[in-house]
Formats: sequence, C-alpha cells, structure tokens
Amino acid sequence: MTTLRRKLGRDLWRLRHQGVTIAILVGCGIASFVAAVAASASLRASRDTFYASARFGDVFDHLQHAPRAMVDRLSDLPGVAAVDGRITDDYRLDVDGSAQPVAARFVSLPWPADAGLNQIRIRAGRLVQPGSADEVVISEAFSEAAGLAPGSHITAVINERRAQFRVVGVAVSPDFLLVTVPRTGLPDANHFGIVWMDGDALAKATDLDGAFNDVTLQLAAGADVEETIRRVDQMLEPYGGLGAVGRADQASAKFLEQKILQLDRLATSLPLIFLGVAAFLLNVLLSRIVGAQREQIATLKALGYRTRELALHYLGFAAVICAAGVAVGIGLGILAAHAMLAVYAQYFKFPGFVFRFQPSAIVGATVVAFAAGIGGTLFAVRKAVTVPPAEAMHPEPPASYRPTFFDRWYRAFSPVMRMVLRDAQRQPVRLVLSAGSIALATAIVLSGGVFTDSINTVLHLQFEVAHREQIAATLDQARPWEAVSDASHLPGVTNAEGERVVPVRLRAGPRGRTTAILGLQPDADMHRLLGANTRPLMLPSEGLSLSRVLADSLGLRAGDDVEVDVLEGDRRMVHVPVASLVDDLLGLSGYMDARALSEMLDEAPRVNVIMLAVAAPDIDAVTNRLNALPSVASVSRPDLDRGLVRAEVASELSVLSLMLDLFAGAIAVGVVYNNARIALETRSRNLATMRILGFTRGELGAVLLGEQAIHVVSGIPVGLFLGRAIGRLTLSSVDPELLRVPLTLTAPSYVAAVSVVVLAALASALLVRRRSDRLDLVAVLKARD
Amino acid sequence: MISVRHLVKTYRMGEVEVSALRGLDFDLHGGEFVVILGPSGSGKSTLLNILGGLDAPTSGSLSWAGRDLSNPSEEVLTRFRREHIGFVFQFYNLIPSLTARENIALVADIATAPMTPDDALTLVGLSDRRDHFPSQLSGGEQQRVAIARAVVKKPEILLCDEPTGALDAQTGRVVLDVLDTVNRQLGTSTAVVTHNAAISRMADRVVTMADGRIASDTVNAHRQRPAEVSW
Repeated sequence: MTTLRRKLGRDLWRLRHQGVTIAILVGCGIASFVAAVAASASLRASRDTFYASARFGDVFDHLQHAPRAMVDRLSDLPGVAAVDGRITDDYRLDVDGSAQPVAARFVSLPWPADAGLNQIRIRAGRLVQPGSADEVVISEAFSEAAGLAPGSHITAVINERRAQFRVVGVAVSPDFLLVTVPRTGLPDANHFGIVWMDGDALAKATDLDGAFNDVTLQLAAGADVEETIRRVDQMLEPYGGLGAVGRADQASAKFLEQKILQLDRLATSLPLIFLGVAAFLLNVLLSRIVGAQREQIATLKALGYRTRELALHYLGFAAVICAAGVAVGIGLGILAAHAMLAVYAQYFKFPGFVFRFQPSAIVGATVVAFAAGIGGTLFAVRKAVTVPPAEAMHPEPPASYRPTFFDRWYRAFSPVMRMVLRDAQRQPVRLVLSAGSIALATAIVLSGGVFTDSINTVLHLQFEVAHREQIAATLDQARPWEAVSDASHLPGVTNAEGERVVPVRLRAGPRGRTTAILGLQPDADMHRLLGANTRPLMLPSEGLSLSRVLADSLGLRAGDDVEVDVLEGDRRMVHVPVASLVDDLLGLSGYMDARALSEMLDEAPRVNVIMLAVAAPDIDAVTNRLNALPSVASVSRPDLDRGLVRAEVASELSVLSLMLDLFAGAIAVGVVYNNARIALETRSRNLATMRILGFTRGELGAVLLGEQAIHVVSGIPVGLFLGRAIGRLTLSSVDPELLRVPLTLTAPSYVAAVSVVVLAALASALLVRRRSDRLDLVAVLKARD
Repeated sequence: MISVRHLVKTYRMGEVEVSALRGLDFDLHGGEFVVILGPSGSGKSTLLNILGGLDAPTSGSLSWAGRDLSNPSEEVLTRFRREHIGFVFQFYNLIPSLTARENIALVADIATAPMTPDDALTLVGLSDRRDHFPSQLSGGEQQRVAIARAVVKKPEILLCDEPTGALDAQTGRVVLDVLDTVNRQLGTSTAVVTHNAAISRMADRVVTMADGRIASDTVNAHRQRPAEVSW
C-alpha cells in the first residue's frame, strides 16, 4: 500500500491550492469552535475559582436599613451557612482633574477583610487601615477608566457633607466584576465605580451606626434558594427590603453569564457553517478527482486492488485535507482563545485567569470535522469505486443534454450564454449548495452589521428620542418639586423637568417583580416614552404604564389591575390599573403621571431626578454648578454616555466584524475557486476547441466563470435574508429584561456584505481565469478524453 | 487453464443495446501464446475483459483451473485478478503521479510472491528509466513499463488489449519482443487482442472473431520471432 500512499501524496500536491482553500474552511470551523469553547470554559473556570475563593454569596438583598441583630436572625434560617450585612450607597464623586460627572457605590468592608462574604482582592496598594475614615480602596476597572491610583484623592458628597478620601488600594470583588450604572443598567466604568471603605467609618458617615442596608447570604449545599429568598423577603420587608435575588439575578453575575452564553452560542453556530461548506466542497473536489481518475481507478482494479482499498485511498484525500485543517484550526483556536481571554481580562477583572483547554472538545471537533469531510466525500467515492472496471476503462460517455422546459427562453441568448445556463441547470444540487454557501458567507458578514446598526439604533432611540436632556441630576433623596423650578433658573438652563423615582414591588396573582415607578410630567419633552414602532407615546394622565417586557413577565395587559407594594415611606399597598404598555429599551420600569403618582402616595409632589436642557456652551458650567450642590448625588451627561458606549461597542465590534469578514471571504474563495478550477479542468477540452474555433479569451472566461456568477448572484439575495434572520437570532441572546434591541440593518451594511462576498469571488475567479488563459491548446486536444 | 462456454454479453450504450458476444466458446491453455484478431466491434476486447474478470458475462460460464467464475462476487473477482491475471492496455494506463518503478511497485505491493520491481524493469529493458514519470517516457517505454507492471506478480495469464495499437511498427516490435520473452521465459499464458494480423505470426494459435462469435481458430505450425514480424 505504500505506493498507493505515494500516489495520494503526489495527487494532493497537485491539488494543493484547492486543498488549501478547503483546509482553511475546516480550520476556521475548528478554530472558532476551539477558541469559543476554550474561552468559555476558561471564563467559567476563572469565574468559579474566584467566586469560590472570595466566598461569593448565593442570595442578595438591599434594604432601607435594619439593625445588625437581624444578621444573626437571618443566619438562623434553614440552609443558610453565612450572612454578611454591610452598608452600600451611591454618592457623587469629585475626582481630581476630572470634569466628567462621576458617581460611585460606597461599600463597607468587614474587619478583618477576609471575614465576610464577597471578599475583595487587592490588585495594587493595600487595604484600608481598620478604623481609618479617610482611606478607600477603589475597583480596578474604575481606577483604570478614571486614571486613579493609590495616592490619588477623591471627594464625595455624603449626606450633604463633602468628605475627602485618599485612595490606598485597587481591588476586585466577585459581586462587582461588572459594574452597571444604576440609571442606565449598562456597564460603564468611566462614570461609575466601586469604593470600599472601613465599615464603621462608612456607617458613621451615612448615619447607619449599628445597622446595615445590604445583605449577602451564603447557603449550605443543597439549600433551597427560592425558599430562602421567600423567607428573607418576609423577614426584611419591615426594613424596606427591595426583594432578594439569587446569584442568577445578581447584576454582575447575570451580565457575566450572558457573555459566556453568547460565547457558547458562537461555539456551535459558526463551526457548523464552516464544516458544512467544507464538506460540500470536498464532495465537489472528490467528484472531480474520481471523475478525472476514472481510468486510473479501473486500472487499479484491473491490477487487483479491492474496492475497499481504493475507497480508503480516495477518502484519504478528504482525511488529509481535514487533518491539515484540524491541525491548523486547533493551533489557531488556542491562540485565538488566549487573545479573546486577553480582551476579556480587560473587561472582567478576575484576579487570576485560569486557562481551560478541554482535550475532549478538540476530540469532538476533530470527529465532527472528519465526519463532515468524509460524509461529504463518501458519495463521490462510492460512485467511483463501484463502477465495473471494464466500464470505467471506457471514457465517460458524453454528458447527456436534452431539451428542457427552459430551452425556449434560452433562444434569446448567445450560444456562450446557453452553454453557461445549461451547465448550471444540469447540476441543480451543485447550484443549490454553491449558492447556499455563498448565501451563508453573505449572511455571516451581514449578521455582523446587525450588531453595529442595532446598537446605533438603541443609542439613537435612547439618547436622541427618549432622553433628550443634556444633563440629568440625581438628587440624594426625594425633594419637593420646587427643586425643578429652582434648577430651571440656573444660568444656561433653558428648560427643566422632574422625575420621581419610587421603588415598588408589583404583584399580579402569584407573580411579582421588584422595580421602580417613574413619575413623569405628562407633557415631558426631555424624557419621552416610546410606544410601538418606537414613536414617542403620550403618558396617560391616570393609571400605570409598564415596560412591555415587564407586563409580559407579570402576565398583564392594558386594562388589568396590578397590586403595587410601595417599598419606601409608609410602604402602602395600592391597586392601580395598567393604562398602557411602553416599548422602552433599557431595564424594567413603571411610568405614571407625576401628579397621579403623588396622589397615589398621598404626598406633596416630590422629585428625585432633574433633567435639564442646556445650551451647548453652558453645559460644563452647569455641570460644575450642580456638582457643587450638596443635595445632588450624581450628575450624568447623556452625550458623554453615548460617546463612551459607542466607542466601547465599536472597539469590540471592529474585531468581530473583521473576523466575520475574513470568515465570509474564506467561504466565498473556497466555493468560487474550487468550482471554477473544477469547471476549468472538466471543460478544458471544450474551451481549447472553442479557442481553436476563434473564440476570444474573454468569451472563454464567460463560459468558465458564468456558472460561478450564477451561483454568486443567486446566493447573495438569499444570504441577505438569512443574515437578517441570523441577526435576529443573535440579538435574541441579549436578555430582553436588560436591553431590547430593535433589529436594524442599514444600507451600508448590506453593501458591505455584498461587497465582501463579490470581491472574494472576483479575486478567486480571476486567479482561475489566468489559468484558463494559459491553456495549452495542442496538449489538451492531443490528450485522450 | 481458463475457458468460457456459451458466452453472451450485451451492453447498454446510452439508449442503445449492443450485443458484444453472442454465445462463444474459448479456451486458453497453459503457456500458450494466443492472438485474437478481428475488426472493431467484433467482441475481442469484451472477451478479454471477461477472461480477466473485469466484466461479468450476461450469460454463459467462465471457469479457471476447474473453478466456476460465472457469477462471482466482487471479492472473488478481485482476488482472481490480484493473484493470477496480468493486464496490458492499449493506452498503457500508467498512474501519472507515480514513477516507472512505483507503477510496478503498486502491483508488487499487493501480490503474494512477486519479483522485485527492478527485476521486472530489467526484464523489459528499462532499468535506466526507473525514476521517470510516465510523462517523461515515450509510448513504447510506457507500454514496456505497463508490461513490467503486469508481469511483476508472475501471473499465470497475461491479457493484452491492442498492446501495440498506439505505437509505430519499430516500437511495437520492441514491445512484442518483451511479450514474447515473458511468455517463453516465465511460461505465462498470453492472450493478445489486436486488429493487426501481422502479429498473429508470432502466436502459437490464432483466433479470429467476427460479430461476437469465433470465426476461426487455427494453430501456427511455426511461431515467428517478433523481429521477423513486419507491418
């Protein structure tokens, strides 16, 4: 068999260009699979290692305040292993040299620092000295974004008192791996950070001596999370509990899990596309090889080789190409996984990254790749080796062309065009699979465009349609509505609107959700509600309007009654009708006319957030004025937020888009190059004859590449539809309770998708065209067909 | 050694049914050199293919060394070809990606007691061309490599389909000389299909075919040397 193996080697070398294009597709499939699986496994392992070592909690709740004795009572709950009560609150910061509005969540540290749950890990500097009231440790992402390091100073306004702190350390903690800004629900380290300080000092500063307002529970193995949550809610209700959540709903953990799930999805979808296209191309290539080697096969059989031996020989082509693809793919995949983790390390801030590389995934990927390759090849090989040798010894009979239904239309075309059309029509399976592969390539590029375009739509709707204020000032507590008109008199302010924010628990039958009701002015011009088709919606003067996703999760429709448990003040319980559904984009909220809300609460109108319309040149001045006011907890500027989100999304997506473009290019090149090469080989005799008859090289090019053009042209429109569908599917992986992303695709994205595929196809077609120009006419015609 | 009785073979060529063999009887005896003559379409090649187990008869029987091979399995036919038959084709059918020596080794690899590829090359006088690829060899050289490939396994039967059909007379004689040498030195029963009547003078026996039947079967009183043959 060694001689047969040598033949395999030489034949493969002759077919190396085509083999390489197919191996690249296999490689892309394996690389994307290995990278996504390894990155996902590594992220999970790093996360779980950190969660375990830092004693990340299982149940979390925030409350108004409760005496520390409640911690012991919570510890007595069945299944509870440990309880950590602490103080957390959000305050506005003045950072040395920063004009941007910045806020932070202050979190009390237990003493000693490793005594409690959600332990922090120092990344630079040191922990605060016990009892020290002016030392803080800040979160790593915030330290990098705000340019703060041990030695920097920050000023916070706590309970209307300005206090200066010295940063002594930088740290990470499992509960704040990803810090989301309370107002937008999106991660933004530039404007929001975590500040840890001594527990007693923070208690004193916030007037919460001997109390806590945030609690974390660790459960024993096998404890019932839901039951614990129910009991915690019961016990903390009198203390203003906002409703406990399990680890799955903890903000940072939830975001992290979402990212990992997206990776998992990537790990399955992309490789399947590549391996599918590679399998198809292997079938095309092998059909051609065995077609061209028909006589060799017959000879080998005449010489006594068994069908099985020959089948193995030809399957060897597929096996070698797959093996090359797998080898390169695994290598690239591991490199890509490391690169992805380096990007994630910027983002997730684990104290240590564990690289997990599962050999089982590689074995699985290899098996799938070989199955796809061999499967794609088997049919062609079987057809070839089962032909009786005497029959195979004769040249293949001329392909049988018969008049078909389509011929009446072909009359309008030139003979060259008729050749092209008949050839395409004679191989409908190849037409469908080639066009299908081109469609997938187009879809892959377009699905990248879906991200960019849809995020831009979100930003546009959020910051230009729904939120049109230049500055939003969040007050330290609900204050009389007069504050709005006071603010409107600030120099530079052209308009001011107020917003009342009331934490509530909504109940409908057995279902309940903790959220907030926003009281808005009905004629609000700056914070507008979005209805269906993302058009601004008029806020009904009575009743409660709900985010559509929130209403769905509670099983509520417009007109239904909902029970509102107010989680502040007198904690009253009222029933309110659902007036309308709102298609807002971020988070889950209820909305009411501010006047109706104050009537429901039986209070004089009050305000928590003031939105300001400010002329552009005055924005900085107004921001500084607001920052100086003790009653202002934080100031946000949507224009800055939008720019930052856009920049962050753009940097993350540009890498992804480039990858998708390259992948799609690989598919288009693989399909067009292989098909055209094979067309050239199988038709070289026809083409040479035509040249001798006087056809030009250009006309020959049309015959040769016309069929590929038909594949590309029929594949692209399908790909555009498919890309939209893939985009919709990908967007559905974003948790709608966090963010609703309307599917958007702009003309440039369509143009980009078509261009990438057409350019790749053109480039490969030209390569083959050059070959056809060099056709040796005499040699081709002298050779026996 | 090998014999067929009442052999019938019909083909479908596209949409036409062709009767290639119409019930013929034929025997090839040990060590003899038979030339099968006949015009195109007379059924010579079909007979040769069936004798060599490349094709199955539509009806009739084929037996080799007393064993019936009329309806053999694919596996039995393959073993029969592998162990006992050597083939030489009109267009040589060398594997283009293998050198002369490797084309021969291809068969030596799967034979039970072959001679060495180099011995086979010496036998056909091509030792110095061993590392040439088919495209680097002349037609006559390619055919001699094909003969070396056919005999390297030391087959009992050598079947040749128009072995000189693509060659000029001088080269053809060299090839015939090799076939004659193999037949005489190794005692290989040889059947040569040709439409070149001149070749028949070097045979022990000449069979003429016409229209799918045997028209004549004569024994040569004197077997000429290939060098004496001319056309």
